[in-house]
This record gives sequence, structure tokens and C-alpha cells, in this order.
Amino acid sequence: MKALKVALIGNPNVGKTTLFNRLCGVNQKTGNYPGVTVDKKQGSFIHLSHSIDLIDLPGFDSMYPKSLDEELVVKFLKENSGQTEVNKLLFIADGTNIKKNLYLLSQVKDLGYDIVLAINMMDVAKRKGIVIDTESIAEEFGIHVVSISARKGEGIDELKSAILLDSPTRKVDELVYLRPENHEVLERYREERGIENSYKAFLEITQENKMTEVNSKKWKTEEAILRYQYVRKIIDRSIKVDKSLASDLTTQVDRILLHKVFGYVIFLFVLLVIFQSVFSLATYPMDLIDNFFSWFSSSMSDQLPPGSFTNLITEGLIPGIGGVVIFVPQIVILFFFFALLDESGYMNRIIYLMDSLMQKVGMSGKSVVPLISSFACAVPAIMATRTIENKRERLITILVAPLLTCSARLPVYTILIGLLVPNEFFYGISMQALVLLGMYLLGVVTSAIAALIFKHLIKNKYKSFFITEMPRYLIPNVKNVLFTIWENTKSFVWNAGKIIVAASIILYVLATNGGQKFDAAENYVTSQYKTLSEEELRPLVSAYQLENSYLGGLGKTIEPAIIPLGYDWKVGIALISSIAAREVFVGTMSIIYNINSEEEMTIMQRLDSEINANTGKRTFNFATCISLLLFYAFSLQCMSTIAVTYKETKSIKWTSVQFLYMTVLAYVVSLIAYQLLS
Amino acid sequence: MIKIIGIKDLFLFIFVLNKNFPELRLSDCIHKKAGVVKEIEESDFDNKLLEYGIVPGAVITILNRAAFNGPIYIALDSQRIAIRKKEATHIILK
Repeated sequence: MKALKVALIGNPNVGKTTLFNRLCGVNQKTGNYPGVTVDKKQGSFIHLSHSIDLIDLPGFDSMYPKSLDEELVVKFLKENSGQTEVNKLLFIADGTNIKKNLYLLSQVKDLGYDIVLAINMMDVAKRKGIVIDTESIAEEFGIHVVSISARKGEGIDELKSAILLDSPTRKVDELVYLRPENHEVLERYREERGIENSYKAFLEITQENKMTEVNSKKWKTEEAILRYQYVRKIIDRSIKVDKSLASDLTTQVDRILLHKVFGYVIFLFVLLVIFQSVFSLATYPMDLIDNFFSWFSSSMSDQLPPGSFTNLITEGLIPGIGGVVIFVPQIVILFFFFALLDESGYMNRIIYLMDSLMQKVGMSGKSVVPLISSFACAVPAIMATRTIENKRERLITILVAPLLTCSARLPVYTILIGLLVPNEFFYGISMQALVLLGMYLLGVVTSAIAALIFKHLIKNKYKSFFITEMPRYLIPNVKNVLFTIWENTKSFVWNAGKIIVAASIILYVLATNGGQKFDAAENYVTSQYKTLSEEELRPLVSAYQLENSYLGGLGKTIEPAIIPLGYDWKVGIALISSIAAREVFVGTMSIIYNINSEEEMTIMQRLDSEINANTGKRTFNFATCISLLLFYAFSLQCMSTIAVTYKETKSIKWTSVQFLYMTVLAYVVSLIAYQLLS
Repeated sequence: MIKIIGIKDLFLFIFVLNKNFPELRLSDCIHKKAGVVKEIEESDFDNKLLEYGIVPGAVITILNRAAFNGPIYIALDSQRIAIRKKEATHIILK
């Protein structure tokens, strides 16, 4: 038997995800809608030996879309109106705030759909003294209505049965959304175009201005007013609120959390907890992962027959994958907190508190969350900008996010700061930690300045507006939190992962192949250092090989460009290989300076005594270190970020703008710093 | 003869003053705690406001104003909404 196709729709923050998980359990998969970056969730379940396919559409507020997500739902609803592809809509409403939901419901219903209405959070509504007469709503709209609690799993079976029922005989559709004197105009348009549904015709007129003689703006405004009158009538008949029962915790909590002083103090504290966890808690699993991959790589090279293919796997592929997996603990912790904030309702309070400050630099309160994730990695940050409706604010957020200090910069900073500042304490505070903090602040300040500049450069084609619902505070649902972590981690590993792995392999090939000199490295080094043992020769051979590999050639090619910054070709190689991911800098440095270990201390000592062939001075002197630090702070040496920016903006122009402005900024600032200091 | 101006009179005075102002916008409400929407001015986002139920006749309660001239937090029926000041200038109260 053919499966019944049902789409799940509703306003945001009504418990749609919870219901979807309740209905489908683990029988679900996430895909992508063609051409847009909105996740498409599909699932299925069997009830009374009928199988039902459920499509989860993003939450939306109106038939007049203002964001990508909304646009997609509206398109879906308009396209499927009158088709048999989707048999039914499952509309979920919030029992504690049903007016807005019923407004949307009446719009969707006018498109001619069969609808089953699930009124969620009935338990909370009852506690608030709201009594909903579901029978009366069912009768007024001519639909099936089931009251549920998705969180507790109440009413789910009844809901499943209601989906299988035939829809009640529909009343004659009234054009409740249009003044009677305009009915004739609409009907004429509808018949001329052969549109089967009046509301679909109405949307075409109001959204696309298809009829020049119609004041579509007026029609839209009148629709809202007329429809609210209509919905209000139904609500008056079917919903009773007993005010004496209402005890509103949310309003009370908001008085503290949104306080002009305490609100910000609490927000700072929440930020601190997140950062502390991301950076200190994550180090344990990160060390484990690091050790595992080095063990895995060495045991693989013992197991497999020696040869270039084995080397490609053990020295290119495995470390490449390891370079991605190492970030997973931080991403998991980060999204754990984001899921908590989102589920509890505090996320919207952060948006509220920060909006006016972010507005000053051309962004929105909604930019705060992506920017916080930027401190772990710019890739999930740029993906998270999708919630920002205004295109300019979203674009600016994407453009400046990579300036914030991501965790891939940390290993680089650690080594350079170690070379720069003595490990001494200043009134009990580590000097090195202070400089590191300074680098974080530098990132914040630069991104604010860059955002301000973009605000003046990018024309605002789209009027910025900001209306957001402040949901009730709720205790987070464990299942939803786990799902959020899983989805985001998966998407990070996939998006950033494939690029990091590919780049690592390409760099490996470039570093392990070269001309004649490369192939003759062993003979050359052995004849040069006759007195050394084989053990001592090995690092010298690999250093010589790297120098004469294609990668070494590249490093030497760019040397003229980077000499003014205080670097030599060896640093050039490290810069190029950083393109896969910034932290590769450390590994490359250890190979090129023929160090046998990747221990930061040993690398540091070795680098400290290195002499620059061009100047005859210490390579890593004060000026060079500062210049390198600044270069890494500003340059966009991250293929994954470039790729994700392109994916999210779908624009070569803005992807290049981002890459170029950061590269130019890095180059100019490092140049000035080196020239002034040396 | 001279009555001492009591707090009640002060309120009455403010009330009369408010009546004399032709338009009271939501963004101007600094001390007022609640109001009834009289009109939504035409703008690019008027429809969005209407969709959130901010329609003539709706009762708005002001819950909070964010620092740094930030958004206004209002209650409307049983929902809570935050809107920017700029949007609030288009909402005229009775």
C-alpha cells in the first residue's frame, strides 16, 4: 500500500521538532533542498498498519516570507496546493499562544489543504488557566483537532489516528480575507489564469503584484485585519482564559535576565562558562584523539607493506582525518550549550540584549550566536547565520566571523607567543596568557571595525526589521539537545572535513614529490654528513627533501613577497601548507626544521636558535614573531571557511571579497609591524 | 483656596497632556505600561506587525526596554514579542 504523505508545519517555537521526534523516532533522515541551504528532514512511522511519510518543514510565521526558511515553506505550500503529492498537513499549534497559530492555520487552510491540527502544550495551557474547546475549533475550521503534549508524549496515538481519518466535509470556503467589494476582481483574475484556488490567486496578486489596478499593499493590510477579526471570533467562542489561575514565571524571570545591568552581567557569565568549557573541558578528549591518530598512523605503517601508497595513507590521509576529528569535542560542547540556550528560551533573550550594540556595527542581535561559535570554528559560525533574516546583516556577519580567534589558531599562537614572551608571571598573571588574551581582543576589535566599514560600504537594499518572539522559559528536552549536537557535528565534519582531508592529501603529495634533487636527497645528505649515524641523518634527509619538494619550490617562489614581512622560504612553506587548516603550521614547522617530535616545547627551542639565511639574524626574532602573529590573526588561511562562505552566500563575489580583504589586511599589517619593529 | 496638588492630579494632568498629543507612539512610551493600538502606520514591515497580532484594538503591555536604546519587549494577548524602537515608532496607541 502506498504511504500517506504528510507535511508537518507550524510557527517557530511551538514544539515542532519535539513532535517530529516523537512521531518518527529514529526513522528519520536529513537532506538538503535543492539549491538552498535549508535542511530537509524526513521521517516515517507506521500506525494501525498504515505507513505514513512525514516531511518536517521549517517553522514559519506568515505567507509573506521574510527569510530563506520561510520562503521555502511558502513555496512548498503554494506548489502543492491542489496537487495530490502531499495528502495532508499536520499543523502544530501552541496551546498557550494559539491566536497567532490559528491566524496562520486559516491562511494555510485557504490554500485548500486537508489539515489535522495538533494543539501542543495543553498541559502548560491548563496550568495557565487556558481552556480550549477543541470540538468547537474543529467545527469552525472543518478540520480534525487533537490536543497533545509532545514533551510528555500525551495524545500522540490519538494524533496518529486522526491523520488516518478522512477529513470532515468541508464548508463552503468564504473569502474571509478580502473585502466583499473586491471579491469580483479576485475571482475574475482566478478564472482568467485558470487557478483552482482563490487564495493562491490572492497570494499571486499580493506577492507578485500581478494586477496593476489592484493596490496589493492595501489588500495585504486588509487581509491581516480581516483575518484577525475572523480568528478572534472563533477564539472568543472556543477559548476561555481563567486569569486567576495564571501565574507567569517567565515574566518574573525576564525581569532579572533582561535587567539593564544584571542582564548583561548574567550574559557575560554565561559566555564565560561556555568558553571555559570549550577550551578546558575539551582538551582531554582532544589529547586522546591526538594520541589515537598518531598511534593509528604508526600502527598502520607497521601493518601495511611499505611503499608510497602506504605513506599516502599513514602520512597524508590519517593525519588529515585526525585534523578534522580533533575539533569534534569543541564543536560538541559548543552545540551542547547552544542547544541548551535555544531550548530553554534564553537564546532569544541574548538576541534582545545585544541587538542595539550589534546594530551599531551593521549586524543584528541574531549575529551574536554565530559570532560566539566563531571562537571555536568559523565553519559552524557561518552556517549558523541562516537565522538572520536581513541579507546585509547576515552578509556582514559572515564576512567578519573568521576574524575572531578560532581554535585552529591556538597552536600557532602558543608557539609564537612562547618565542615572544618569557614564561614569567606579572602580579601572579602569566605574561603569555595576557598576550593570548590580547590576541583574542584584537580579533574582537578588528571584527567590529571591519563590520563598521562593511556597514558603510554595503548598500542596504533590504529594510532591516526585527520582530522576534520571546518564548516561554522551558526545561530543555534531552532528546532535542542530543539531536542538535548530532546534526551540527555531522554537518561540520562533512563540510569542513572533506576539504581539510583533500587539502592535506594534496599538500602531502606536493611535499613528498620533487625533482632530481628530491630523489637524490639521501645520497646527498649522507655524503655531506659522513660522520653522522643513520638515526641523526633521518631528520636532515626529510628537511632536505621538503626543501627540494614541489611544496618547497612554492615556498621559495613566494619568498620575495614575504621577505618584507620578515619571513624566509621555510616560513613560506608553513604559510602555504596552513591553507588546509591553520594548525598544520605546527606540523610543517617541525618537519622543515628537522625536529623529530611535535612537542611544542621542542619546536620552540629549535625555532629559537634558527638563523635566517637572508639576514643572518635570528629567524624568529621579536619583529618576525609579531609579524607572524598578526598575519595569522588576520589572514583567511582556511579552505573550509572559504568553501562554506561560498556555500552560504552562493556568491563568488563575496567569497573573494572576504578572502581578499583579510589577506590584504594581514599582509599590510604584518608588513607595517615588521618594518617598524625590525 | 489653593488645593495642594496630589498625585492623582498629577496623573490627571499627564492624562490630559497625553490626550492633547495627537499621536502617542509605542516608541515614545517611557512611563506608560500599557496601551491600546489605534493605528499601524504604513511601512515596509507593517504586514509583519499585523501578522504578529499588532492590529488596531490590540492591548499592548510593555514589559521591558533593552539598554543602549535597544528593542522594546511587549506582551500582547498571551505572547511576548521584542521589536526594535524603529518599528515601534510606527505603532500608534490610543
